[in-house]
Amino acid sequence: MNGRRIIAGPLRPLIQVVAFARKDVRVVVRQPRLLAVLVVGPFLLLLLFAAGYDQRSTVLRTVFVGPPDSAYQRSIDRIAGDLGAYLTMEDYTSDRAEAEDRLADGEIDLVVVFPTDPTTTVIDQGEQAVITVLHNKLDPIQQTAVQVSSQVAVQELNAVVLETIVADLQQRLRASPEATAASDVVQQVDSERGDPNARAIIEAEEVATTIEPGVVVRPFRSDTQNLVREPISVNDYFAPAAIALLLQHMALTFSAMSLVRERNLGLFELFQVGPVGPARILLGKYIAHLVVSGALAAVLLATVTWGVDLPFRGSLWWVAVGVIGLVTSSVMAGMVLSLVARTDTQAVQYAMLVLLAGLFFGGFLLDLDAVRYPVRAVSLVLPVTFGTRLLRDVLLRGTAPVPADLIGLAATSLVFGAAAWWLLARRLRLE
Amino acid sequence: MSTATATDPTPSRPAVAPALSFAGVGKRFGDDWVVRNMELAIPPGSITGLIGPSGCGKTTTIRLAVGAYRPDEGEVRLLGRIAHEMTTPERVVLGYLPQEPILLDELSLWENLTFLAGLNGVRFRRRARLRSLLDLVDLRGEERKLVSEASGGMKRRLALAATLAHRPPVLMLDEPTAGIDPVLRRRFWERFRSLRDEGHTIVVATQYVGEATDCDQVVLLSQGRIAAVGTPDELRRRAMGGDLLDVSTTAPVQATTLQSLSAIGPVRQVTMIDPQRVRLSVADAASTLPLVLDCFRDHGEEVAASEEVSVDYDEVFIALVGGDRP
Repeated sequence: MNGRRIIAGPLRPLIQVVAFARKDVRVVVRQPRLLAVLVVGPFLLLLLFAAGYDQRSTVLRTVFVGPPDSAYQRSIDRIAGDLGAYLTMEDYTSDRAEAEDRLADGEIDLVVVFPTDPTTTVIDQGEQAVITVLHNKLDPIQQTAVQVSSQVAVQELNAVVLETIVADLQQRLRASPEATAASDVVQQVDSERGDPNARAIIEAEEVATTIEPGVVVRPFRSDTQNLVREPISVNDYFAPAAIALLLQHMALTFSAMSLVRERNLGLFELFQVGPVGPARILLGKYIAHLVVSGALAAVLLATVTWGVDLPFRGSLWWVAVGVIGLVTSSVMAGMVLSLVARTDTQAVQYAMLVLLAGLFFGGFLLDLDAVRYPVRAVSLVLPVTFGTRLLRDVLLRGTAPVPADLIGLAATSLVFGAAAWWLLARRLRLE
Repeated sequence: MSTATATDPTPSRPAVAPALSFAGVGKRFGDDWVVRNMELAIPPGSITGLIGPSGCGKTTTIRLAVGAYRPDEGEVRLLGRIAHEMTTPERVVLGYLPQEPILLDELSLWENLTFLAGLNGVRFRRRARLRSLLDLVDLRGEERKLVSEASGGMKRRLALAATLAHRPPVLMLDEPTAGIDPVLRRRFWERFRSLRDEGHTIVVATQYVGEATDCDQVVLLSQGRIAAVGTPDELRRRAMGGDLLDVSTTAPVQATTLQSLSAIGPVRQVTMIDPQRVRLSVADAASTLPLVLDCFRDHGEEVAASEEVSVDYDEVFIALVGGDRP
């Protein structure tokens, strides 16, 4: 017998691992339809959404209702201009019913009804006049947006009214003969005696008559500065999360289907009696899926970077580290699912559940800070949680990833890898 | 489960340590014993045929031998090691062909072969060896065909080629010739014999009873038990009560001649097949034939032809285990 001569002794582990890797790459590549369903389809849907998403849709189309030729109508252009970020003025009308019809038909988003006689309410009755805001929103988020917009609009209106009053008072103060006479007396006292109280009165008078009414009414304004210097659009923000989610879904689904399929095919019988253990099987499969997912990640990143101008501000090296970590963790999670599932269908169903979990708990749609513990712990076992944050940091902020995300990917890879090894070893154990 | 009734299943006792041995082995699934009281020793460098009808326990016996099953009773040893306790690296000595070919549909025949060879650690540069295996199984020129497009016979042939790829010292083949045409089946058996001559130990489970004649040792299985073990000739003699001789005469055989034939020592049974043809069951055909011819001559009967009868092995099988069928 010269059998042993054709078997590579020390190289046997390497040959076995490479055999698995080559086989799995071929199997994945030979299933273009599955690849399209899992990756190209969702990616095109996301691209389509990004292309069609209009951020301006959050600006509310508004019709103002008030008496004709009133002060409202005269100042409405200015108010609408100041609130441009929240609403656009579609019309000013005195016909509330018509405005409500347009609201019901969906032509407009908001109807703002001014009180007909605010002076009586405020001055005579000593109560606040009410500006009624009508909307027809179901979406709680949009309901909140309407509330905020309404509050801001009313504050702005109050400010405009106050500004007008202050300007009028300043003008009257400057034109008043009594005030002029009093000022002369104070100046005389100041020049003769050098009285500090007189000096203070003079200065106060100057301020009261010269300061801008807008400053009196709105003494503070905000100056918001983002540490991320470059502007980030909604599409930019979601693109890294979409890439991370797609990579996790693809790597996890393919690896989940791979082992369960081999088990149903009967290959486990050969593994059981052959000179190959669970570690080499898993390593070979991992390498295959890393190669395929790595290539796919490169294509996705190139497409979104050059195709839809996704910012790429950080280091390519860190992106590579992130992709490797994300794919490693996802492949190992897929292996675990494949060893728990009994059929291909079951494996795909599990993978879809993980995809849903990724959408809700991976930071794709919602800020994770909005999710309370212990439910939030779900996010800690999802590779996409760490992958999304890592890619956002590197691509959008241009910084190195935070250690927690690197540790998260490494930890989930290790935990899922160990679980997969244990489950596979148990499956291959003799009957 | 009924007990085998045919013959004494005493195994051959090889002089050297057996390559594979079963000592009081039993295996059950739930309450059903699929293999029971199996005592068997398979010498190295031999071909052993496990022969029996479907459901007789051939596949379970093979799986016990390769260590895929842990016996519920007794012990299976492969090359001296307890089969189910062999470590992963130790299993390289084994080549196992399952009953159903295990191949990946998306890959070509060649890719499947290289994958399965790689699984056993065959070096990637052994393309010439793999091609010669494709020649053996008559698949040369079909390498690029996808398994999904291959026939059942092609898949079985490819699976056999993959099993042989790493030249394991022990080959366990579960029905390797099922669905294979007779010409190719003959070539397979030639290959098995040449491997045997090189020192490989081969165990072949088969439903083709006729293939027993190609084996060095035959194990007849019936309902999970060994019904008979021996060389093909030993089993034939055991089934037929010895060798068979047919003698034809130019005239009808007389009753006195038949009486004289029965009186010859090595003759165990005399049967008239037709008036001019007699079948004799004898202990040994070669040494008894001259005595038989002398007897005919003494009675003045002219012998037209005489020959040793080669009995179809189906008859041997039926004779040895037929009564054991449910």
